[in-house]
Amino acid sequence: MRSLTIIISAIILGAAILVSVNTLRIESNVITGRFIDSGRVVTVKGLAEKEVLADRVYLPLEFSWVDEDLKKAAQILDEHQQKIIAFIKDKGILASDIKADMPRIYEVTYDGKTRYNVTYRLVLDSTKIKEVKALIDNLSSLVKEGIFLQTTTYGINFKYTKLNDIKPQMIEEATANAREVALKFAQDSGSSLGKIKNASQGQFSITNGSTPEVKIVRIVSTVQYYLND
Amino acid sequence: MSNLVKLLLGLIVAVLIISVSYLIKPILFEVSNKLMESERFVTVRGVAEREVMANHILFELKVSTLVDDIINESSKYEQNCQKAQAFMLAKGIGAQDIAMRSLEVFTNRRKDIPKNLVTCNLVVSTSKVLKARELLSSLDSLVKEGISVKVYEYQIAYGYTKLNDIKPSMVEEANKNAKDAALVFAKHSNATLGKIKQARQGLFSMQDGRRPELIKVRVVTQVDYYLKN
Repeated sequence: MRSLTIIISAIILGAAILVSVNTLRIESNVITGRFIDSGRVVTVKGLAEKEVLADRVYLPLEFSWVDEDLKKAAQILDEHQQKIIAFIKDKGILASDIKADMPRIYEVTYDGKTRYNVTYRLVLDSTKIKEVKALIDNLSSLVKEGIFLQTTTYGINFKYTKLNDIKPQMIEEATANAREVALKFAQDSGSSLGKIKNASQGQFSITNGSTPEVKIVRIVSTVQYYLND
Repeated sequence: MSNLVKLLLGLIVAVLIISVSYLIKPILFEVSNKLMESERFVTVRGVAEREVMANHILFELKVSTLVDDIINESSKYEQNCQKAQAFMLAKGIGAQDIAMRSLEVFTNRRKDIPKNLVTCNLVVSTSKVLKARELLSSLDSLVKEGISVKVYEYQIAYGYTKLNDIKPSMVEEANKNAKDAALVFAKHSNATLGKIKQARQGLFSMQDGRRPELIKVRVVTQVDYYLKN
């Protein structure tokens, strides 16, 4: 009877091992299936774009005089500067926004004479956008007084400084737009949209708009959603 | 040992072997769960920007004088150079911060005007940045005395040596901004923010500020946060 007992025991243990391994096999299949499913994703891009008005403007103004007598040129330019500053303040721009920059002097010799070509420079740094624009449009009225103001168009600089205020809202908008696109994708392929797997915020960019004082703020977020079924 | 006992022992071992597999099942499931969770993360950027005042300025002031005779009229250009130095001292620049680099002579080759342009180059290197800017804004008072002075903005060098003092708090600020952006993402996707998966601090950069003597210091941090639920 001894050998029969051993055989029966061996069969029982063998069966137990087989059941055990099978349980683990089934579980491994389930887990592998889950991993494969977690690879089912849809990747979309969400855009948020906003047109904003510049809130700061930088404007250099230059005016010149040529004379053999340097002192005389300086005196005349000083008079011109007083008039220009008065004109600017009259347009509603604060005196503290106006700063004098360094003068440029060239000694020019021709026609048997040496003359000084002197250029004075004022720099406007102001938040009063409308007033500065009105000023630029009216600079020609100073010509009547013999003052020729040179403002090169590349010298005018409009800036938008409030990016941090709109960042959160724009990120939210970009994410919402991404989700919309993803939903459409999912619907079209007969799946349902799952949770977010990955998201990348992207970089904010500020570019010039249709006119110099209009800026376009832009962000593109990339989002990856699980696809469920 | 009786055969019955041996059989019983065999059965018990068999049950144990099967139980172990059932114990391992949830462990495998838990591991796979954790691995799949670790695939979920969001990538955000945080920026910290600070505008600081330069604490050092270096520039060159050129004082030019027209003379017919370089040797016999030397007092003319020497005087102008002296006046310029006195002007700078009066504006609060220390004498030890002013150095005369060289004397340059440009001779006009035309025979009918034997004019020489003698330029003395004064190099100023000082930590009194605001006083120096004040000086540069009021050069017109030298011009009014008939002294021709030249300083070019692109030749003015500004230095900021205290970067290490503000680095830690700026990195902290950038990280906080990154976390805020991540929270917006998480809130919008109905998930909760987990721990940091990866973080990368960008390089510090120094750019021109709103005014020449201001420097904009900037750092961008990129962080990956785990998403839960």
